[in-house]
Amino acid sequence: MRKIFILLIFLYGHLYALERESTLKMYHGIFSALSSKPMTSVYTTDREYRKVFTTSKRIFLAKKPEESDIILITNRSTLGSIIKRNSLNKHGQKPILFVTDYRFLKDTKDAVGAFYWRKGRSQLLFIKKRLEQHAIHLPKAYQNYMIDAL
Amino acid sequence: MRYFFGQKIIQKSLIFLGLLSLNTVYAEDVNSNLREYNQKNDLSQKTIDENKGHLTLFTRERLEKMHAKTLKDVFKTTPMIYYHENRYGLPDPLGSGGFEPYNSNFIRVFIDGVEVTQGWMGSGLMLYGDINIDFVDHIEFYYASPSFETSTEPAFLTVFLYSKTPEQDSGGKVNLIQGNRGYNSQSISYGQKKEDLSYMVNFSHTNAKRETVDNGTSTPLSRDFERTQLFSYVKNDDQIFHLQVMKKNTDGLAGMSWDATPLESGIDYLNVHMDYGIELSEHWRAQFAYEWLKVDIVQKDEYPLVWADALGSNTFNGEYKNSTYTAELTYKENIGDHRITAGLKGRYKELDSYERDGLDALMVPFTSEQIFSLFFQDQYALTDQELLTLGISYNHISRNGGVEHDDLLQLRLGYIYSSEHWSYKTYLYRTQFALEPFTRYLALSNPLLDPVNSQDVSLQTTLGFTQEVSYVKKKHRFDLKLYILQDEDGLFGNNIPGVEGDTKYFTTVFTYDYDFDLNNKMNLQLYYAQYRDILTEPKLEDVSGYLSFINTYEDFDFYNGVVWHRNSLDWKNYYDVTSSISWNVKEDLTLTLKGQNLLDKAKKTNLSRVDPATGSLILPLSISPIDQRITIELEYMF
Repeated sequence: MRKIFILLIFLYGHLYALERESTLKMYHGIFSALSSKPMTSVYTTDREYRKVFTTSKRIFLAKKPEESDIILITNRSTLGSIIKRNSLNKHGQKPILFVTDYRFLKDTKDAVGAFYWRKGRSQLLFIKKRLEQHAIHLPKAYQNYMIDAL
Repeated sequence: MRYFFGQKIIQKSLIFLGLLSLNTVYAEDVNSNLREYNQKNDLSQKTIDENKGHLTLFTRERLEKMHAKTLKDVFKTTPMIYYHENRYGLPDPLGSGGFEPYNSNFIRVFIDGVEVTQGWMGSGLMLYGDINIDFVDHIEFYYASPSFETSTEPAFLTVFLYSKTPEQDSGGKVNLIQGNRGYNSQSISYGQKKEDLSYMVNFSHTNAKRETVDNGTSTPLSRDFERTQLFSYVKNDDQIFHLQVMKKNTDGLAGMSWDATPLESGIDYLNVHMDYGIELSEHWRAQFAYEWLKVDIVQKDEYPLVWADALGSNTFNGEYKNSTYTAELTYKENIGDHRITAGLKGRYKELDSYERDGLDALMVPFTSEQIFSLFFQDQYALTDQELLTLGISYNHISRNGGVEHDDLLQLRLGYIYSSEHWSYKTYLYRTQFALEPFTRYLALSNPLLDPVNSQDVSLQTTLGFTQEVSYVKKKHRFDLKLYILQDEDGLFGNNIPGVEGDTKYFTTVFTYDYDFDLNNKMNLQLYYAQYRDILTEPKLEDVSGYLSFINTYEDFDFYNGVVWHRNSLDWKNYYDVTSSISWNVKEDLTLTLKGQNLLDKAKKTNLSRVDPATGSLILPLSISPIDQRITIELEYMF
């Protein structure tokens, strides 16, 4: 069957769906900037992101937050539960928190950065002081997107 | 290992240069990845349907940079069909400035794919043509006959508004605007995504203190309005429910006064819209919509009023209530290289009541209209890059009260070619339009307005041939659209001597967009049209243009745009200059200073007047729908 090239998606329930290729490109870059490992273990509860990350050869999905290098937080309820877990786990290695909402960056000092939408454009932001707590030194290409503090 | 002199330095330099260039490449990579992510994940990419017709798109980013706060702010920049207001001060782009109640019924407005209609009273544009768009993510204008998949009734311009989603706009936003003359507007939105559910609520209030119009008396005409508007939805993966409520109290400008000197003129609207859509399976979708509208009209003049229901009186205090019910069932499937879409649609419009001075005054037996519509559409992929599209739609309209029934047949044949840089689109179509019920009802209710002929009005048949060619490469986008149309048995009377032929249209729109970089963009649009036998003109030429610049420098955003109009009626130039500067104080706080129609030279149109004492035409009033206005805006996200 020939591929019908015109996009005809008109399903309201599915109006928001991440475009796989460009999303992976962005997150491959972000995760490799935050973690030096060739394969990054990521924990997220978001079904859309899980669907996209499943197709990646550089990201594998962790089943538990503790088993991950990076936790990607996309909603407030996950943010609450992750912060609670982190506060109980005082001595263990804490995964890096990265969020998709600017407000979450303000709400928790554990999050090192955010990739979020603002007025129709995506914004990338890293907080220098928080990166330093994890001893992360961003590659130069990402340093334009870094601010000292909120 | 031995090194020659300077070898280490050279090696280190090469490594440094390598790293430097790598970093530059990476920096460029991050920027280009961001650009690609923005473009591919923009919500408009999920809703644009190439088969719907010829598109003019306003993305979220563009709406934000333009500081467009109402649909009117956007509509005033579009080509072909310009934003106008009628003698009641209501959005009526196809209004002639004459005495007809409403002319723009074939411009349809959809929100999230569902039509908002005033049912018996006409198109949803009448109320929604200048709504607050704080809840809107992006807007699509489709010219010419739209895809039958979306439309229940025929249209020649369809405006699709798509709301924001909590995935990209979670949390809350407050927007406060204060303008000159006491204009003020407030809006608050909140949206959230839960595990399997998301919702969005927007509540806004506008107190529009507008420019008055001098009518030669000591009391200039007023078109102020106060509007309170609620937009909300809740949805999950396969269901969505919308609730919209709008209350709008307007000063009715010239209203029903023949010479535009009313003693009193006001119209109050209360509108409720609800709809529910469900994906029944991979192929089937059902949708139901309900609309209710209450209109209270108060008019007073020294002479008998224009309004048919006033029955020759010089005062009118009437209340109309009407309801509209719409149901749709659509089926979609890919079979081989064919994408088949078919469906059934039904709409029932009813005039629930008409009271005058608090008493039932419904005398005309014509109070309801039913539309049954059946459509089939096949999109056949000729190759990976070519699509052939065929659509056919049959509408049966039945009316009560002994009024004629109508059968409408719509046909649409299209071809689309798309490659990496080039795209071409052409349509051939035949569309039929029937007279809207309220216009017919008013003619039937007044013996002076030819009630016998209003029972049986010929259908307007519009034949069209349209083409569009686009070229996109990196930072450039060129687009050229050509339309050739002809109206047979036009519903808008042009039967005066010398102008009685079929109305013919030849129009062309050229646009060029250039992105200097992510933060600096330019948009140019040029339009030329030639009309034959339109309204009272045997030949009319129309030219317009729109040029805008969007710039960002550090924490400041700038928008500068000019809309230019002129036509062969007097070849006078009109310029609507709009500028804004925004200071992004913090990530969640923005202050904006905006000026619209800064030169006070925006397009004006004539509003006809007749001396009620003698019946002779008097000098028309020249009115612009665009006020000269300066506003200060505060926006806070939480």
